[in-house]
This record gives sequence, C-alpha cells and structure tokens, in this order.
Amino acid sequence: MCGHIGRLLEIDLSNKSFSVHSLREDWIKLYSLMGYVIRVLYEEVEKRGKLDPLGGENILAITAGPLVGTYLSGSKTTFVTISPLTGYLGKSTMAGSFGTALKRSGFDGLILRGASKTPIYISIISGRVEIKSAEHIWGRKTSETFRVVREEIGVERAKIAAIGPAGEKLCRYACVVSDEYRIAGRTGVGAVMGSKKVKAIAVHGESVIPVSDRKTLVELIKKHGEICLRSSRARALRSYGTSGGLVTYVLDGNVPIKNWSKGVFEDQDPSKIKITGQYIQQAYRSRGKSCGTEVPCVIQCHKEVHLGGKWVKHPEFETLALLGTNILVNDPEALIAFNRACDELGLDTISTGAVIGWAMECYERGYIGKDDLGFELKWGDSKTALRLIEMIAYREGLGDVLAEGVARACRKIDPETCDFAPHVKGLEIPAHHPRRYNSVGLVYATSNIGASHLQGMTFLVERSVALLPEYGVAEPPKSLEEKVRAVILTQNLCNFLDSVGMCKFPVFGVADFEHLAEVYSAITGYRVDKDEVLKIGERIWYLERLLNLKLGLKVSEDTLPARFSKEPLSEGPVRGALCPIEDMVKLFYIYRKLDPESGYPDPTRLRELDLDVD
Amino acid sequence: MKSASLQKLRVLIYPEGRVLEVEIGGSRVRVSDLLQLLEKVAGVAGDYYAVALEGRLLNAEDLVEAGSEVILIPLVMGG
Repeated sequence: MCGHIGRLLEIDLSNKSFSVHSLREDWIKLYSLMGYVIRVLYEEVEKRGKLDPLGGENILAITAGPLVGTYLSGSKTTFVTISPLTGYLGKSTMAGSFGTALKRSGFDGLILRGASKTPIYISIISGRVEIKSAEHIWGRKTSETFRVVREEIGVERAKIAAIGPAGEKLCRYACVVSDEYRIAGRTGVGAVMGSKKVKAIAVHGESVIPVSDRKTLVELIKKHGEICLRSSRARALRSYGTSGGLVTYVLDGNVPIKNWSKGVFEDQDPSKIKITGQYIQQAYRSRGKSCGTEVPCVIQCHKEVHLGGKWVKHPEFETLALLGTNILVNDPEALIAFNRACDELGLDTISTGAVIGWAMECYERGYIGKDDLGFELKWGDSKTALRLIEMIAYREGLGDVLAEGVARACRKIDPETCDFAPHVKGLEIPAHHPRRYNSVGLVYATSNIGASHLQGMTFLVERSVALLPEYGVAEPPKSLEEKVRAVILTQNLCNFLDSVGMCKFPVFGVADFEHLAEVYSAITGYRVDKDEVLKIGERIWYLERLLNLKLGLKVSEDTLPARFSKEPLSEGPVRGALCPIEDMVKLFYIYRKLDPESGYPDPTRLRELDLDVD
Repeated sequence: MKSASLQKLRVLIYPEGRVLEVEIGGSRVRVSDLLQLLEKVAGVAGDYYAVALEGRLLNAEDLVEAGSEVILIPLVMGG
C-alpha cells in the first residue's frame, strides 16, 4: 500500500495492551487516512452510542497520511476524537515532523482507547512500543516534559508530542504541543489526551515509506518547488509568516476587535499597529524556517524572534488576532508572552483569546466583578490577561469556569452573556470575520467540528487570493449562491488535504488541485484526478456529518451567534455589514442535499459517493 | 479640471516606508490598473500587494482619486 506503512497501532490504556492492525485498503481508497479513522470512530459510535468525550470510551486517533514523509510540505499530523467542547467530531492538525517520525517508527497512525489510572507516556521507537510512568512529569510544562522524556528514552532525534497542565486539568480547549512547538490546537484534543492520562508520546524510527512512482514524484516535487518560489503568495508567507496577515486583515475588516463589537483598531493606521509580523520582524532579530526538521518546505512560514537572549516562537496570525486585536492588546512582547504561556501550558490560543475577550466584555457589562476575580479585568490590560491564561490552565478561581469554554461558561455566569459568547456548536470562533466575508460565516456554521476557519478557506477565495479555476471558480464569488457553492467546494478540498496530511499553505493560492491529484497518484499508485480528489473530500464531509447526527446534532445548531447577523458595526471597513446566515444555511442544505428537518443527507447522494453507512 | 499635480498619487510601501509619486494620467485610477502601473514604472510586484486607503483595503475594481495617498500592504495569507 504505497504512501503508507500499512499498519495502525492500537493501544488500550485501561490494561496497557496493544495490538497492530493492517490498514484496510478499501477504506484507504475511499477516505485516505484521516477519513479512515473517522470511519473507525463512526463504527464505534454506532456500536456504543453517544460517548463521553472525557471518558475512557472515547478514542483519540493520531494519523500521518500518505503525503506525510513523502512530499514537500506534507507535514500535517491529524488528531481525531469526540470533542469535549462540542460533543461532536473533534479534529485538529499539527504541522512539523511528528507525523513523519511516527510513520518512520513503523505506523501510519495510533489509536488510543480506554484510560490509564495513572499518568503515563508512550514511547514508540523503531516499532517497539513501551508504556512508561509519567508520575514524575505530571504537572510539568511542555518544554520540561520534552527535556525529561528525551533524556529518558535516550533518542536525541525522537519527536515528542505532549500536553501541558491544561490538558491534565481537562481544560476543554487544551491542545497537544510538539517539541517543535507546532500545535494541534483545536477542539480540545489535549483534554482528551489528559483524560486518558497520557502526558506524552515519543516516536522515532527508520522505516522506509514506499512510494509508487518515485521518478514522477521527484519531478512533481521539483515543479512544486519552482511554483512556490515564483508565487507572490508563497513569497509573502516566506517573508513574514502568517503573522504578516494581521495588518492586511485589520485594514480589510477581517479580524475580531473587542469581542467582535468594534470595527477599528489603532485608528486603522498600520504605523500604529505594533503586533504585525512586519513590525515585530523589524523591531527584533528574526528568522524563518520550515515547521519541522523533517519537513522539506520551501515556504518556511515558521518564524522566530530573538528576545531575552534566545530564539522564541513568533505568534501566528490567529494568536495575534484573538489575543491581540480581540482584547485590544497592541504590545508585541505581551503577545509573544501569551503565545509562550499557551504553548507551555498547553492551551489553544484561539479559544483562549475568544474566552478572555468574552470575559472582558462580561466584566465591562457587570456580569463579572472584581470580587469574582480578585482583580480588575479591563480591555487591553496584558498583565491581567496573562494571569487569566494561567488561571484557566490550572482551573484556579474563575479560571475553572472559563476552562469550560464560552458555551458552557456563559450558562454558568449568566445566560444573558450567551448572546455575546463567540462559538459555534461549542467551539470558539477564530479570527476571520463573518460580517466581512459572509462565506466564512457559513464555513463556521456548517463545519463538522464547530467554528473552524481551516475547514473551508473561503476568505482566500472571496478576497481573490486563492481562486480555484480548475473547479470553475475563476472569479471571487459575489452572489450568495456562488458563496455557498464556494464553501462546499473548499470544505471538501480541505478535508482531502487534511486526510492525506498536506499543509494548506503551499496549495491555496499557490498550486492547483490537478497537481495535487498527480502527487497523490504518484505516491499511492491510485490513479486519481482533481474530481476524484474532490469526491474523497466530499465523502469525508458526509461521513463526519453522519457521525455528528448519530451523536445528536440538531439542524438548529448550524448557525452563527446573533452578533454577526443582527448587530452591525458602526465604524471601520465592515461598517453596517451583516452575515445573512439563515439564507446561506438554507441554500447550503439544498446544495448539500440535506433534509431541512432532520439534517440527514439524501441517501441517493451517499450512494453516489459510495458511502456505505446510514 | 484637475491640475497636473493632482493627477498623481502618493504611494507608501509598507513596512519599508518607501514613498513613490505616481503619475496616473487622469483624475482617478482603478486599483487593478494602479498595481499594473506600479509594476511597470517602479518595478513593484503588483500581485504581491493589496492597496489600502484611509484605513481600508480596497478591492481590485475600486477607484482611487488623484491626490490621494495609498498604502501598499503585502498580501499575506494569515491562516
């Protein structure tokens, strides 16, 4: 089975046993690897019914698809589970070398079942699986965990993924952090790992990943490298990383400001905005590199700045927006400190920023008082924001409520505050703005994991940055109908990329999906074209939808918070604009062939996609 | 009728701070044409940048009046 090692490792943490399963080729062809484990999860839910996301019955699957370790920028390790934030499908992708090392250790993926009674870590070195006590590192931050685990396993080049204290404390938006500080940030995958008492996973090996047509693949890699070097989009990312997007998006009205209630940041004057990638990289020494030592990527969007005598990770765009413009902090060193704290504690910066922004609005409007916190919580106060990050991770004081995520926290604080709690299905809303790009609102409303910008990157399509002429989108969509069709198209394409382990940056706005189809064919030996690529992604989307329906998803949850559809902003680039989410969802249901009452897909469509589940 | 001096645009390139004065040959210019013009007269890679005016990013079809000051912002994909 080219592109794959052909084996999944399954560990039952309840009794510390493990087994190795050969991959089913029929499922690999239908879904590729991420979709494969979603199918495993689907079968599990069908068998057992609704699962407690933080109970031993949940599973956590970690996969490295066929492009991981075989292709330029094929770096995405995918985590799949039932999310403790939403109760529905949870998934998150992590860049860097972890997936490559996992495959070289002898497995395409890992499925964790059950829960250990005591803290453990897992070592998979050249096919040898060991479960070791983690009592002595439970409670430690991620950097310390990496140091101790690496020392104990004695393999310098091993790649490690770990949770921080937030995951141990079951903060519902805890993330998984790799030793290259790449993050599986979303949907609380770190909390699930914590619920299983798994502190870390270390992987290393020398297994060779078979490739079907190496000669063609080498040509395609060369061609893609040349495309990346010529592309303005790739060049801009190489120059500034995603952080360079902040100034663009502030001027475009495509960021959250003051919990989505304000339309202007620092007078919209680029010279006054100090948290842009451009400003930070001029003010401090900076450098760029690939997201991992084993990732041969020419874009090199990972940025670092030299601060306090050492190189530290540069915050990404989403972090700068959610913990910057969203809470009115315009101090680069504060942003670097927030980023570092979240990485060390194991918190998703998107959800953390969204929760803090909502809490600040609660404070301003009198729903939270100084007595509840022990201190004031004012917009733009970076010291208290940093303190709140720690309180959330350790569930101290009000941090215990905030660690539940905005959907649960608002019900505890005061149901009135749910009106301005930014989430979809329980997952906090990222930085792209539904009032600015209506299609983004629909992406959030109908993504199978809740509000995620990476489940349909239509902000790039609407802005004309990444058109998809190979699928008939040669102009930015203008009408609602065109926008809804663009959402469906990019949802399917994003699912394909996630499933095969490919990063989105060297594709959207850079290469095209005909090229990707050729790459997938050369690696796996399955002859696919761009339409088959789309079909794989679409099949996964419906499978995810069916899984969520089995878990109790209601049609009424395919929506956005009212703030985006009913409260226009009075100033700035999106002054007066709203997101017509109800009209868009109606069209979406028609185009996706979903029943408007039950939300179930038309069985005919499922049969057309060879999706043999119901 | 606009004077000759008003048929120019002042263009600030962010973040370098470089300033260009560009003759647009009329009282206003479409953003997409301005980017092409900048590529031709100043060697600025047009598709690398977006154009902002008065705190707002413009669309390709928007028109800019002569005498305005616009900012060129690198068009970076923030993920």
